[in-house]
Amino acid sequence: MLAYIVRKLLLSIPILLGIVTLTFVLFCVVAPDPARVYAGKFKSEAQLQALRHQLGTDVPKSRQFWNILTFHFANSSRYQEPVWHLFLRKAPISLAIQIPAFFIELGLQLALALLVASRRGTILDYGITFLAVLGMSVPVISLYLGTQWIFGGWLQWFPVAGWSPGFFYALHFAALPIIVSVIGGIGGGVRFYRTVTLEEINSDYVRTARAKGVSARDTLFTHVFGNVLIPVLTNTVVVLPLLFTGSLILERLFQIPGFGALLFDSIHAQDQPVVMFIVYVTSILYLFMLIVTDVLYTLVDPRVTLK
Amino acid sequence: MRKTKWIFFVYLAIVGLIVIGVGVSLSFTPPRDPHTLYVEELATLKSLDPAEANDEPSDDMIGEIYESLYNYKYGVQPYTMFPELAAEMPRYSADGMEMTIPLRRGIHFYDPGKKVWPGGIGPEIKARDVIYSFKRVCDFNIASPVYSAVFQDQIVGLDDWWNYTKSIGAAKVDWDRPVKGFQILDDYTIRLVMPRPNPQMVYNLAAMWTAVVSRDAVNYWGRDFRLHPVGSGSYCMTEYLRDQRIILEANPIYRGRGDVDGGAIVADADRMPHIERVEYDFFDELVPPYLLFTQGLFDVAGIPKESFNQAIRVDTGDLSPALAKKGVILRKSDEAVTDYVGFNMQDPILGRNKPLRQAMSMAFDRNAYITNFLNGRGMPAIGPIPPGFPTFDRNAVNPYTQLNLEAAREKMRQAEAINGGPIPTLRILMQDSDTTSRQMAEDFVLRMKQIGLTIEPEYRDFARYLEMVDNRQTQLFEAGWLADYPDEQDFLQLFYGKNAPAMGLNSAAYMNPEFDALYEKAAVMRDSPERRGLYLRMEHFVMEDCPWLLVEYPKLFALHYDWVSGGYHMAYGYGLLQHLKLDEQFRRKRLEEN
Repeated sequence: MLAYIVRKLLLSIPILLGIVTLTFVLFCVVAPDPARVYAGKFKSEAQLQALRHQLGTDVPKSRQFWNILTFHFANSSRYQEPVWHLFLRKAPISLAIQIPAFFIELGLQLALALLVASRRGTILDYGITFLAVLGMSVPVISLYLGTQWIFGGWLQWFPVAGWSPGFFYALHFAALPIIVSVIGGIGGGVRFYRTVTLEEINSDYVRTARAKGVSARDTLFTHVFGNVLIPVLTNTVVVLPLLFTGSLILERLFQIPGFGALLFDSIHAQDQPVVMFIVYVTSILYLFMLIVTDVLYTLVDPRVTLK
Repeated sequence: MRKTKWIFFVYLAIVGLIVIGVGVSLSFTPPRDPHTLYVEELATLKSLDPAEANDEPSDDMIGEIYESLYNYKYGVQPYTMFPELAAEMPRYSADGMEMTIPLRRGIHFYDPGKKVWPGGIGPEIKARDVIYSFKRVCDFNIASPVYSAVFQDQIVGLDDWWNYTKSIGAAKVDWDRPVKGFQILDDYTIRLVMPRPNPQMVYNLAAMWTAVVSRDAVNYWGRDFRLHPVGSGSYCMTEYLRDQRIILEANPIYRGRGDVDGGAIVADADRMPHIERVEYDFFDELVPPYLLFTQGLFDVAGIPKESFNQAIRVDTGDLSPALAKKGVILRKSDEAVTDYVGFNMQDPILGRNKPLRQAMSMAFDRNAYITNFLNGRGMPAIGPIPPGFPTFDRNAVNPYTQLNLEAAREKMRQAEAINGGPIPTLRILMQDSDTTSRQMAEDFVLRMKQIGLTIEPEYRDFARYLEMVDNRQTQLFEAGWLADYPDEQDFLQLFYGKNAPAMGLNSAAYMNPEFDALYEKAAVMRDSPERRGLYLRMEHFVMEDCPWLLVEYPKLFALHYDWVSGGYHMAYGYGLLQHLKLDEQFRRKRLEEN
């Protein structure tokens, strides 16, 4: 297993290098001189030179690239703050939305998938499948805006938008974003896990277990569910790094000052250090989680070995 | 395998707990203070350091906390300056190259956090503080975005100071190093020495860029000074959660009004600010704060495009009855802005073909544009200088900004003759690639098609757009100009020949020796009927030559509840919040009714 992990880690290096290079080159092409944006409407060569110095873009591109590769990120152009500080300030806010939403969504997806798969062909199955497809079909932005208007603006059950420090105050503002995040993401998972569960339910070993007199519930939770965990792991572990980065549109619409909103604004403002940081760090976490997923397979399913 | 069953149910139990926690949190509503004015803030503030900020939202916030030497009288049109930290208007030398400015006495900095000075009360503002603040704008290490607009080439000896700060590094700058053009005559008098007369310099001293900061505070906070403003204005900042909220509280040692010395006796009824506390909540999108405003959670608000028809009656442009019933008041005001489409006069097709530019200008339907894209919040442009300037004449007629397709087609025939054949496809550069930009470009394409012109839109992100406009790599480009001070020169400099080279303010690269001669003559004159006459003649050249396809002057529509009074839109000036009044009892009563 160790050899497998080392090999995977080594293979990750060129992938990372490719991602960082591509993003850096795109920035060089799209925004070759961010000082112009930050200079505003008045500019002179002397002023641009000073701004380039402040933004760290007055050194050769090769040096800038090397600094990024070695984690020496320049300060955010927009915030004039080290990107690590921004990350530490904003990631917890994103996590306050994303972690509850992730757990609720996954729990509901699995529960509903097991329920409808075990009641295949019934009205319950058709009804939940219909709602799942509907949830997948509605654009998330419409869902976000619609719920904001209805539950925040009209019924006033939740605050329309905003954020406040303090655990319960933060949760007060997080409630509606968490709910819409769950509603927006639940459909695809229900459909997918239902299909996976059905495949397992129709397997020979399930039929054998049922023939031996094991109850339907025990078959479902002891045999079927264990095997369903493999695709669950594939789907969930790799998205864990994305919990830190938050949701770009959701955070912006609900005025959550998290990492997603930061990424959205940084792309718009061509804040290269922030975008490079997010791309780089997220890629590392993502590649790492892919390896973790492989290792977890061996724990969930003893038939799997890593060579 | 039996374990998985329990893991699953434990997991569901945790999910249930999370759901309950979220539900319980709904009862934790953040408290609302009855003495606080609640305001939406629709942008991220770049910096609260006057030397670093050049964006309107930052300047507005800085303007509540800091003061400059001069300011504009609140609610007075035409705009009139008055001395704020200065004791009187500048005294000019006979040759106009020296400005001597005496300062008010007894005005102190105030630090609400009590970090810089125990007790919070700082030293009295003196000449050295003013000169220190000016030198900071000219410090290479700070990279002030307004250096070139305010002081570069306008103060004697500044090149030396700039090069010195560049060579020495931020930490070692000797702030007492003399600069010939920044002189301290005594504790309460400064003198600015300019290489040539510059009547516009006084406007820079009424802007937030030159607000007076404390050297102690800068030294204490270092780079974080941008987050911890310490000024002498009517408010001080007691909380700043970046991207979330700012809380301002009345400065306890404020002298009561801007035009008196510290320690002056001001009657209690006249003392400002009237509102004790103001909370700004930050929003990136316009709709959520508007919804919160309709719920009475904000006291003032703008009107998002998406909600315009709910707030405003389309037929009359008045407030909707539903909002009027709630006690909402609509305030309309002119902005000192001209939106336009620039022609690159260095382009071989556009630059030498005046009839072509005139034809395009006459083919553009400004009223339709204002209705379709601004919900009627604008006025068709007449000349480059917008309302609010002394020479602006609302009744003036510019034949080239009147929709006249017949005349435009006639001009097109002349244009084709000059071009030696049909006009080839022209490209218009847009500042963004979002839906609105695309719709605006499509509208422009359709208007020009009516006179037989083919226009191809080019969508670029803002950085690339700026680079192309700065380097004159465009044919047509959408743009706008927001005035910095109430002098027509602020707009006319955009057509001055010496500003035409790359990166200069004259992005259309308009060159007209007659215009330039008049500009140079007016540039050294102070306000007078003669100078206004020169301005009118210059504007006439621009209207005739059409280096800009003038589009519109935007109008500002703002909403507030009737428990807030004293509001007046000022295109220039700062410290406006102190004039507002909040009737707390009326607000409570209204909200209960609504």
